[in-house]
Amino acid sequence: MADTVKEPVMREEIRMKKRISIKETINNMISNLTEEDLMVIQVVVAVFIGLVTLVLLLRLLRSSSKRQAVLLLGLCESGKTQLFSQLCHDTDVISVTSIKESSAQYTVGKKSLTVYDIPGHERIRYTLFDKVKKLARGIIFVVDSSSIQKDVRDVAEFLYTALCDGVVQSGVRRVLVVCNKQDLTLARAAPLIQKTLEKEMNLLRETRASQLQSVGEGGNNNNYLGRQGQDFEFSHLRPIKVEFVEAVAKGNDKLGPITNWLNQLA
Amino acid sequence: MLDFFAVITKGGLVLWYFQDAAQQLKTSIDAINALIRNVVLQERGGENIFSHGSLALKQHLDNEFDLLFVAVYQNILQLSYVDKFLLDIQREFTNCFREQLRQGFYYESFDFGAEYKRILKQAESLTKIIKAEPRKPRTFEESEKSKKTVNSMIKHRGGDQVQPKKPSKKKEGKSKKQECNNNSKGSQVEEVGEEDDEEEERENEELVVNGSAVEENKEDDVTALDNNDENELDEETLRKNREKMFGKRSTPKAAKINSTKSPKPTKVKKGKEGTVWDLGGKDSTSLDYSSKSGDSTRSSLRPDFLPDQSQIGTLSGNVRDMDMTKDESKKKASSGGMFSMFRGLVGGKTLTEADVTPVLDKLKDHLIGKNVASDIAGKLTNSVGEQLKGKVIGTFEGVTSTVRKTLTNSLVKLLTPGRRLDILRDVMEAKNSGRPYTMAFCGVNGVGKSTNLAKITFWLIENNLRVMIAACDTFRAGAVEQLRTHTHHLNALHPPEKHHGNYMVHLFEQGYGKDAAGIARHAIDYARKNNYDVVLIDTAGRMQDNEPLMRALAKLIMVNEPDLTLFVGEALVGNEAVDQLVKFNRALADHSTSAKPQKIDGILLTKFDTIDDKVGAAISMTYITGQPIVFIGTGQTYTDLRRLDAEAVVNALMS
Repeated sequence: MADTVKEPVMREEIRMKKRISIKETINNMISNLTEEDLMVIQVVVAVFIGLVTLVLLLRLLRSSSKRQAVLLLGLCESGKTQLFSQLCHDTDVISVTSIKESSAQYTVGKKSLTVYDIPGHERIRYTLFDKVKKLARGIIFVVDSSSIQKDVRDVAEFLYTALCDGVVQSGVRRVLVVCNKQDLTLARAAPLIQKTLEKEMNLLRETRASQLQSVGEGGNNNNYLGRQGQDFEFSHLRPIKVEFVEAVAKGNDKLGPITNWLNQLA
Repeated sequence: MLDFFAVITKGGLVLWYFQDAAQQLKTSIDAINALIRNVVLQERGGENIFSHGSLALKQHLDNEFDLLFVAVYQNILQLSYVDKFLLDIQREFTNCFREQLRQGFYYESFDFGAEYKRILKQAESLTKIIKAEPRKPRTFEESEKSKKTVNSMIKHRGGDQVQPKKPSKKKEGKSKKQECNNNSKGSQVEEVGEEDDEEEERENEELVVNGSAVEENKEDDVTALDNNDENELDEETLRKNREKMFGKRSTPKAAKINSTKSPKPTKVKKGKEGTVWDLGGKDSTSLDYSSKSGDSTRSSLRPDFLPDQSQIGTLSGNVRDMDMTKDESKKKASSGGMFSMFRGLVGGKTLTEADVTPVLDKLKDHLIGKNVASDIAGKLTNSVGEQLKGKVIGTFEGVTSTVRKTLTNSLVKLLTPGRRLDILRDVMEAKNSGRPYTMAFCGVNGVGKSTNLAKITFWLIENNLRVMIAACDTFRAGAVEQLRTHTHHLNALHPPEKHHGNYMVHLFEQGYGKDAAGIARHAIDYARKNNYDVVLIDTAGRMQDNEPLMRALAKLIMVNEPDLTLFVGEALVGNEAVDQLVKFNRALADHSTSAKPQKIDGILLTKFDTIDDKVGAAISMTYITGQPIVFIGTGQTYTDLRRLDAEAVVNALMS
């Protein structure tokens, strides 16, 4: 009888001893820990938390700096808003001079691009361009084919400024120059416009390449485009690929080359 | 009666329009484009009406949904209901299509025709009713008399006048004494009660107010009025009048009357006298101090002039931007990041006029403190106010910061040039067409035209262009010598040996006293024949009020048609800049006989080193003309020429 009573007591004692021993071992461990070990544990925990935060931040930043946009640039009245409406909404619109940028999504399959229509007026184009240039993956430059002979200097100046901008040179790989308004009688063909622009940019880089540095990080960075000693050609601008197409923004039929280019870009 | 009405987004899409049958769509769109370019983009939104050819346009911005409402009608009609009509349409349109606008579905059709017609009919009928009402006489409270003090209106018999003397507009030159007296008395009545001509009730009211002191007035008045009406005098009043007149002999009015009655002195014809000319006995040859030894450029250089070799080559290429030594405004850490996800949850606040006005007033005073002309500052703040009314801001943005940001954007927009500014490229273009590129410098006295002309010459010769200076300042003593000295210095800095034996700078002058327009024309012909690339025309300084000189300047500009007409203004000028520019522009437009007169094409801002951050003159000048600032002069040596950097100037202005 005494044995049976003793057994649970013994069992309990054994159990308690185990518990105590676990507790004791942990306590022993902790008390045996020296200062250095504690510090090591603290440092490891801190580094772990830091890494986690860093990974999260990087994820966030990368998603915002991903270049997903196509910019529509060009002089006033060249047809950007019309082209924008056709590409993104498939409608013709009556349009006036834009004052603000507009944006829309262009989906091709599973991928989508954001298209930004930047107003062409001289006073606001550069400030608005600066706001969105870091998101740009490609640039569509719209040119009015019928008035190119008159406007070639203005067109070339805008194109030059856009191309030699630092952010553009680092991130944009493809530029499409759309020779718009081909339905008008005075419209020039794309190769002719390309030659005219090349001649103009040749002269332009001389007058602007020797420009002195401006104050502060803003202002023109007048890098010398093309190769020294040779006449300027758009093919010299590797790795940026510049293509010339013709289009009529009104109506939906002549936009094939542009949509192809966009599909390739996405 | 409205020819065209459109609702447009700020992105350029026409959401809905109404077109009167007779009007072409293209002309309306052109007019709207002109409106946007001139008004919205040049920050003149506070001004009421814009006219384009024969059309008048009125606009209204809706800042909540970024819309622009434009009404186009014929200029001659002068419709009065358009302002209120725009507001009504805005309210109606935003109510009807609120959901569509908020989500940005601009490509659906907006069916607004019926409501538009209804509101238009309402507005037109309201104007008809207002017009049909007879014009009510002013109440006493509205009259000017109620604003005068009692004492000022008391007239004492016997000639003492307590009231302030007003110039009598009535006939003084009449010789008849009666009428003089009558009028002198009558004009007294006019003075006191000018505005009471039509209503006699007011006089009665006034008598009640003013009490007995005026009763004798009334008697006089009544008798005078009676006299005026019937134009006859009895002996009694005649005597009184005479007394009064003689009693007031010291007053200027009486003196005037007396003087007109004195007999005119007969002019004694003198014998024929020799006319005395301005030059007073000397003739132009004796005043001509130009060098007598033929071609003056070949004369020896001054022996004590040592050219500063370090300056050569520093200014080739385009002109450097200004050096604003104040640190750039620190970029505030963006409040996005963690809290941006909360912003969507919290509702936005709509700005009202009451919120915005105190901030705008403070900013206006700040601008005026930075030397912006006061009415320009007012117009700018009005325009910014128009852009902010009804705008929705997030609760993490304050009203002050939003207003400041909008004003900064507007200022940058104002200072950014509205056209391409590349003088070297334009010079090349002119060279290709076989003619020289001409630049004319005009401005008031002492702003630095000749000095900055020399600086621009230095910049041009650094870029291998041959320059001819036309000395069209034929009035100021030493003007031609000053330019000749500059020519010598510049030729020493870039001697002909380095440039294939060509002299880079040549001075074309014909001494003093000659016609400036003629000299300029000869200079341009000479430059064309001798392959000079640029001609710089230096004119004499002149005050903007001086009519004959402004006419001479307009003639010079009209005859020679320079490619660039630069107005030279100093940065120290304050409100005067507005007056100068307006009058110069107007003179150039008025005195030109061509259909499209050439006005000021650009501004040269000088003495920029004398102001620290009070750069407001730049804003005033660009606002008035709409033309860009082409150069900035920052000192007196040849290298002190800069190009405008809009951001830097606006930072200095808003700091």
